[in-house]
Amino acid sequence: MSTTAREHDIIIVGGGISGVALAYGLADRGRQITLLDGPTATDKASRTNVGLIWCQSKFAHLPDYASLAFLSARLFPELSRELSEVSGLEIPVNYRGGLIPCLGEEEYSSRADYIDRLRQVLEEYPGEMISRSQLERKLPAITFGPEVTGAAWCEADGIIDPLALLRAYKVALTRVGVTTLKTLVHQVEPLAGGGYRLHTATGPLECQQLVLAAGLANRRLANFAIPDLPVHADKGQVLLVERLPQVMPIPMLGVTQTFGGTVIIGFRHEYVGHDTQVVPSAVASEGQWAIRVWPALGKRRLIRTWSGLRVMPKDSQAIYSRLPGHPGVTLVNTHSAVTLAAFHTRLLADYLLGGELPELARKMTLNRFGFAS
Amino acid sequence: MNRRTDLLVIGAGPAGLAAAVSARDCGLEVTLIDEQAAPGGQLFRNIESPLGQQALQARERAQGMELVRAFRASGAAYCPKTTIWGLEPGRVSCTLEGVPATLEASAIIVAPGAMERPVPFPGWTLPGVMGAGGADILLRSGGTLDKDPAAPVVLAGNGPLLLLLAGHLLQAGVKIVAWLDTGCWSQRLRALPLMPAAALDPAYLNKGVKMALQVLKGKIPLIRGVSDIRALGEGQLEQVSYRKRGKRYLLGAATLLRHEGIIPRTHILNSLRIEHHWDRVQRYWYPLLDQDGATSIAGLFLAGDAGYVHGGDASQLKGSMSGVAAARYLGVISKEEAADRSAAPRKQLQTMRISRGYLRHLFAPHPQLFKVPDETMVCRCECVTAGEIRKAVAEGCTEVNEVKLFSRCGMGPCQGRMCGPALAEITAAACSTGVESVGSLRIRQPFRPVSLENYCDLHHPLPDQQP
Amino acid sequence: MSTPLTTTTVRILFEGQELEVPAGISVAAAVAGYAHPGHTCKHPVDGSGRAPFCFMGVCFECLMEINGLPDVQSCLVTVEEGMQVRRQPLPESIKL
Ligand SMILES: Cc1cc2nc3c(=O)[nH]c(=O)nc-3n(C[C@H](O)[C@H](O)[C@H](O)COP(=O)(O)OP(=O)(O)OC[C@H]3O[C@@H](n4cnc5c(N)ncnc54)[C@H](O)[C@@H]3O)c2cc1C
Ligand code: FES
Repeated sequence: MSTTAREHDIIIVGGGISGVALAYGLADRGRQITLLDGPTATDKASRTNVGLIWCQSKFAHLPDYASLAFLSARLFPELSRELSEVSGLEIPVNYRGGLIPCLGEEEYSSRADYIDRLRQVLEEYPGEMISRSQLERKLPAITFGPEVTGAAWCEADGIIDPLALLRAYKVALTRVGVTTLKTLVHQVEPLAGGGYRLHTATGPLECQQLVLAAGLANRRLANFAIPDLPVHADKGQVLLVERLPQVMPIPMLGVTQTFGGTVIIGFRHEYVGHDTQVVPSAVASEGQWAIRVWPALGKRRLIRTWSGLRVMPKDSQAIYSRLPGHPGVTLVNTHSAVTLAAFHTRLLADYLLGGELPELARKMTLNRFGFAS
Repeated sequence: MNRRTDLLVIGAGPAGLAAAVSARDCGLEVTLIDEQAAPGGQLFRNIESPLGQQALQARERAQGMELVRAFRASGAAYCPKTTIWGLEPGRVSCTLEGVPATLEASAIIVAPGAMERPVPFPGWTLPGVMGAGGADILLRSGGTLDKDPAAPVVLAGNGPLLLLLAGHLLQAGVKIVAWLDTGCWSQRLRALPLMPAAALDPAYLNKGVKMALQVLKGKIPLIRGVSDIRALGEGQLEQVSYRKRGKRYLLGAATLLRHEGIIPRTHILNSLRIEHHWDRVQRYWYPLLDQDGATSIAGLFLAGDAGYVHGGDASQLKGSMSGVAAARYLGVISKEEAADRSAAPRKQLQTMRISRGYLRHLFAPHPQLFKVPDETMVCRCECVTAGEIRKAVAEGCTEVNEVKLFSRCGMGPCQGRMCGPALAEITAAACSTGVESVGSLRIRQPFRPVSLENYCDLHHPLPDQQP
Repeated sequence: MSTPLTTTTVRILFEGQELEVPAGISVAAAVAGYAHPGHTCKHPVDGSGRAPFCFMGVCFECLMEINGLPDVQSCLVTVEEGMQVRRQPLPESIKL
């Protein structure tokens, strides 16, 4: 345990998928990078997600954010190849598109309307509604329930093994010279002469520049500058069904087969603070929906339930921002950090080093919430 | 079945049966649930049939038959063939002969017992390799280990149960070619000073001597100081290899029975986040309970070996005491009556605990038990090797749940029941630290698999949502 | 054992072979102790043959197909007259 503060060039707080993606992007910039990750009980969104690289059917009201997902998805294949090479680890991934199944005519037509709207705001949109029989051709090994009318289809979507991705990033970081320290940050203290002191479980650390990518803990860590960061916990509860033969070459949203063969069911969003209890009646409603889509699933064995907390900015859009009055501190918060990982690695380094945000992300600072940065 | 009762007891072993009987004596309405087809648990399995009776010595047989008779006569409702997969305070979810049900109760006593400590070694997934406990159940079902009754059997490990099994096998005329002793002699010597206390429990001591005599009379070749056991064969066990004083030996074998002691089954309480402690001698986690088995959750009790392994007769006493404690918790009996009713079992249990303290050291698992080669498959469900666990640690993981996420060890249907202890020991060794500091696997409900539709039907779902 | 068995028996079929076993025992014990079949299941991950290990519901190595239903933990099921038991096959790419 060190009692004297050690000087670091850039410290990144948070070893979730956001933190490691940012750290890896900074690695070849000639700066000394230190990543801090601590064991926390609840704030581990990166360890509870499905791994969808998901672009379609979201954010018609936030066209830039929707475009960001498409951009990141395009950067993904080359990034995952590189990570595999550098880490020496295999990362199961497929880029064969994604599907959102629809139950009944009404759901189908409202989904179709939404996609029309998206196509208008985005100008081009690589997706469309497909009929039930087209859906059956895409997933021939699945017998759909009678209520399934069709699906929304988008070729830009994909799925990656999220734990393999996180692991590969972590191993790759050690190969490109980023230092990772296992420690919990308790508090950030701005220093009078510039720079920051981080009070951690293993003693103080000092740095010139700080990146806060600690998910929900950003609320606490940023409170020296912003008393109330507009980010909250969005609880997701999921069911895990036993391993099945691979029958879902293209992932479906809400009921998704993993690379290991198990099926994850879940799509609820709840705002209940840091509560992570699994509520059986809540997960049961998700299960019932999944059985209506895919009846054979009902007979298969459920082997786990769990819940996780997504990191949700108040308006659902990512936050990439300097903290007000603290140009040396950059804060990153998003609820789709898997999808955006490639964007974070490839296109955010300049911003973290003091430059400009990429065009598409310009409006994603804290300014939109009325904070001057 | 959607009914509320005073007390639900989970498990029909000595602890659960005694708990049901004593709670009935106190006037409670009791329902007892168990996944086996008949009462008895592991020790008194099939005791109502001649098959099960034959497997026991006279004193135990009488004790078991009396307990089951008392239970049958107690008026407690009994649900056999019922697997519990969910538990919330006051409520249990289960599958009752294939039909899902929830049962509600003002108090719950959990008595799931103990299980054999699973110890991985190369080849342990080969057919022909079994736990000694499993083999014992097989014999009590009237079956044989091999088509050829004279096929060679190798015993390996350490612990009183292995002694018992050796006795059963000799009785059945099985040919035991070797007993590979993996015990730790320095630990055993530590048991010596405690030995006089064992004299307080003459019946138990007597039983131990009898068992040992049987082994000697049967002339089982005892090979001491054995390590690095391996099972070899093509699709089926053919040979057992082991190391002794730096040399490797080979034995032909049709069956290998490994036993390294008994550990509490902690899945249910773990899933409820109840605090557990680590026993450094016996190397297992056990839940924090008061002297009557009360947990930190009001109205939830634990009885028997699932709390700490003291054996069958101790479990029965613990069961009686927690049955009384449940009645007291519900206010059905006074404090004085409760004290009165538990006085005798409490005293007996105290004596027993002292004598069993000696066994705790005598049969302590060898600290190097989990020093297995990298290629050893640790997680049988997900096929994860010791090497992969060590690799995850080398990458920076310091906690078992972290290792699990990155290696898949413990992610399969058994929820880490078979690999959890080894995962923790291997992780701790690779981190050069103690098992206490690498934690234990976080268990999620359902703690037993249940069909998705049964689960959903039971939990009165909220109105539909869509993604 | 010294005293002869006086239990009732039931007949089950394992891979077409008739087994007469004591009533009240588990399917896993009946198959392992009376048919001695080697493996009873092909493991879905590594394809290796596996057989019942713990006989008490812990290890999940005893999965077999009972009366047409796959994935049954056979050590928790009691034998019944006429029961059809088969080895658990490797999951193929079946339609689900
Ligand atoms: C159920 C569910 C499903 C999801 N599915 C998807 C999906 O399919 N696709 C997708 O793109 N996204 C998905 N997400 C969202 C995605 O997981 C999150 O966007 C992402 O994990 C957020 O990353 P993060 O790094 O910001 O936060 P986290 O993953 O929570 O990481 C924060 C890290 O910081 C560490 N930390 C916290 N505080 C401190 C401190 N004081 N000191 C040191 N370290 C600290 C934590 O230990 C943790 O490692 C899903 C989320 C959930 C819950
Ligand atoms: S034999 Fe272990 S679960 Fe059935």
